[in-house]
Amino acid sequence: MNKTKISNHQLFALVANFTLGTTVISISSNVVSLAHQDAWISALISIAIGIPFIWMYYYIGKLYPGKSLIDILNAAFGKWAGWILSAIFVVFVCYLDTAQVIFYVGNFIRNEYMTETPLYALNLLLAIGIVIGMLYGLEAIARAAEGFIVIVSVLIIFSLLLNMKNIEPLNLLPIFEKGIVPILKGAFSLSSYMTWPLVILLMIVPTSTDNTIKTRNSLFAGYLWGATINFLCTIMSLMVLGSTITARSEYPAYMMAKEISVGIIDRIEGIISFSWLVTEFIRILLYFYAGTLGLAQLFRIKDYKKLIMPLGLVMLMYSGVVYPNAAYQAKWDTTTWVPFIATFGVILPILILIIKKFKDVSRQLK
Amino acid sequence: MSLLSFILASVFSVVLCIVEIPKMRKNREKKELVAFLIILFYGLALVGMKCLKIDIPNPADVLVAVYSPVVDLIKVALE
Amino acid sequence: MKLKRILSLLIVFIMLTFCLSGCWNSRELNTLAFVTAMGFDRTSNGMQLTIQVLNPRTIASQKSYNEPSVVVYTEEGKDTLEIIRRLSTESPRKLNGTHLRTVIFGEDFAKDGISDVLDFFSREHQNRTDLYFAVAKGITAYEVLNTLTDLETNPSFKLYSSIKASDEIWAGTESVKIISLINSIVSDGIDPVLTGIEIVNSDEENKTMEMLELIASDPIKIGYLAVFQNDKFVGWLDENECKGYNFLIQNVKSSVGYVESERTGRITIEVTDVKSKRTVLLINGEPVVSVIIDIKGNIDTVAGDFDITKAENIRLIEQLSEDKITKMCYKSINKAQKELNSDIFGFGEVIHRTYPKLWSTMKDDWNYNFKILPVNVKVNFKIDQIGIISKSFFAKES
Repeated sequence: MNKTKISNHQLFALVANFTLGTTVISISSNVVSLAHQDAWISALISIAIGIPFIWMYYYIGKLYPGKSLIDILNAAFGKWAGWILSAIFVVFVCYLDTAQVIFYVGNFIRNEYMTETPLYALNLLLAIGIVIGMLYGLEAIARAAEGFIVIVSVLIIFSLLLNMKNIEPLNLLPIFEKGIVPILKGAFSLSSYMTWPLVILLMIVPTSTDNTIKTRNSLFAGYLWGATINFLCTIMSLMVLGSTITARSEYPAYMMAKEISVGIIDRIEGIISFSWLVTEFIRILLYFYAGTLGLAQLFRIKDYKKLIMPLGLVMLMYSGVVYPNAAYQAKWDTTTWVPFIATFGVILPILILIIKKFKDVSRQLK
Repeated sequence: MSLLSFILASVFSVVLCIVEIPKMRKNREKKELVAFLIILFYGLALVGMKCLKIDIPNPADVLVAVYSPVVDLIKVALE
Repeated sequence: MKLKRILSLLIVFIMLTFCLSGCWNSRELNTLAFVTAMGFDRTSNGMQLTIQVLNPRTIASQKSYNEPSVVVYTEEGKDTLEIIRRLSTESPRKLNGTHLRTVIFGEDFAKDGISDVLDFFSREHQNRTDLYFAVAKGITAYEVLNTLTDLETNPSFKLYSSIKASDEIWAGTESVKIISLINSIVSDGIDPVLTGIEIVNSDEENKTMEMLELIASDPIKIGYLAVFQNDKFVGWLDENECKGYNFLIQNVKSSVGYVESERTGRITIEVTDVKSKRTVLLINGEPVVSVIIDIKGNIDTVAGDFDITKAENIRLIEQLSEDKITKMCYKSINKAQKELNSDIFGFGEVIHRTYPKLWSTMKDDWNYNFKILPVNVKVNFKIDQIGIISKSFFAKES
């Protein structure tokens, strides 16, 4: 049914972009507010936490080759329960996140650049871009991601290097001041944005890649690449800004880039916001693609592209609704979101694996 | 301003219908047509609600309500 | 069919023009007034805000106008942004803060705490993080901003560049940016310092262009350090204490000093490299801070006929410098501990970093604990080069 194929290098770029989006500029401040100056340890730990999950997502895809998450849920939980779970997945994971990330981007531009512009005007431009990207299809998105990840990595690393003269390594001390618990809290908070949402790749990986060891390797490589850049950004903003300012600013990586002043290179924070926007764009596209594909499969619609334009309108309208204000956003991001995405990113894949193994064993017994 | 944006959204929808519906009819894609129309009218309804300053229910609130016991449990467990 | 397609494309294009027509709140350059410096003073009605705005005519044009390059506006009120907006009744253009360089606090204003203002500067999206802060010594910020200067056409750039320059080549001051300022206010174990600004020969007539051309030197001078306790100003460090402070926190890029004694005469030394290491030891469970400062210097001037080619004489100069710098350091530590009771050296942070558990018991009462904290200073001075001549040409042959 779905003939689109993406190469392993394109998968690497998609995963890396997805991992970088959201986390690198705004979530690191949540992590720092939980773990204080030890947030860089949290970032390291959450890289480690992520590896078994990435492996698990890949393994599920290998157990059900050529099937998307919707089919997998149907096969594992039966027709009705599977359908309901899929519907929840499509609406609350994919579409809610699409709207939320659109809000993130619009809100960032409104906070930092155009304070008097209405949110919808900014979101509209982004939504148009997303709809156009979706109409071109997954191959085009993946090819764009391939180019983007190079630009983004170079720009972020460039801005980190320019910040080397502002660093204050003593800001990282003392290590383990409040024990391991805050560090773990920070690590799970980071994982809930960096690792577990990658479960949406189950809509893409089993059907659109060749599902070999190389696929697994590019999943790992993409994840590690994104997570490492995120780790570098976290540790640099801690060293440049200190833990209090990092925790209390909305966009610490952006604030850190404002500090750059090397010779004539000055006021170049724009490159950080540019690279962040690009990664967020890919992240939104992946959420939106997974959601639209899922919706089409739920109602057995053959041509999902027909639904993109009206769905774009709905997403645009919801982007101004999902976060009524900054306080709601802060509460949602640090409380409800974490157990919610854990349900889909942790519990559900484990259940699928257990059921599959159980069925295999019982079949053998018969 | 709000009236203008509603008119713009309506114009967009009408154009979309004019362009897309004949194609779908020609290909006999009945399900696509139904889903397309439902989603489009849903989107238009959202625009209308926004323009009339009616609060659109936030889907995230459902999750907040469902997960609040879990969140409380985690909070207790961590302290 | 084709007509429909053209029609629909046309409508899409028309709709696109609505969103591609540029920024919502676009402002043209000729409707903006660029604020380059701000001053805060305490008055009976709340506060007085003074701003310096660039005079675009003197900058944009090639020929030089005989008028000051900045315009000064001032207004009283309760809140920063409220005053800025009210100033728009005086200024014909909308004030724009993106090019703000220097912020000056009046002494009285700083005594009441500067954290409200800092919150404004870090929250407003227009403001950048590379501004420098200073405190006006003995005068109001209004007077500082109303004084014209030589050498740089724009007085606030003069402030900005002299804060930066004196930080680099003279150990007597320290430049403070907003990030480090906020960090030292919020953390318990360190208190901030800010550069002080004073006006030498502050005559009323200085304000006119003609008078400025007559006097030789710039009236605005950077010196002294304003010491804060949390966000409240408590007192000044004079030049020697400032130097001691800067040696202690390793903030000296380069500086000049001299030693003088009967045997050696006056010998001027340029300090080229300073490394200071602050450690905490526990003696009977009580923290003792020790600071080891390694300094390298070059001999610049030998006044008199002291023979600096001999190794033991070099050692003598080193010892004299060590004594002098140690004295300066103890002087500033004493002042901070006994008189101002403000931990500007960050000794609390050093304890926090080495003994986090001990720190959690001390930090609530840190003001008292800092007062009785024993501090040892050890200075190792090493003379690197003695210049391109060995013995002074004017020394008598012995």
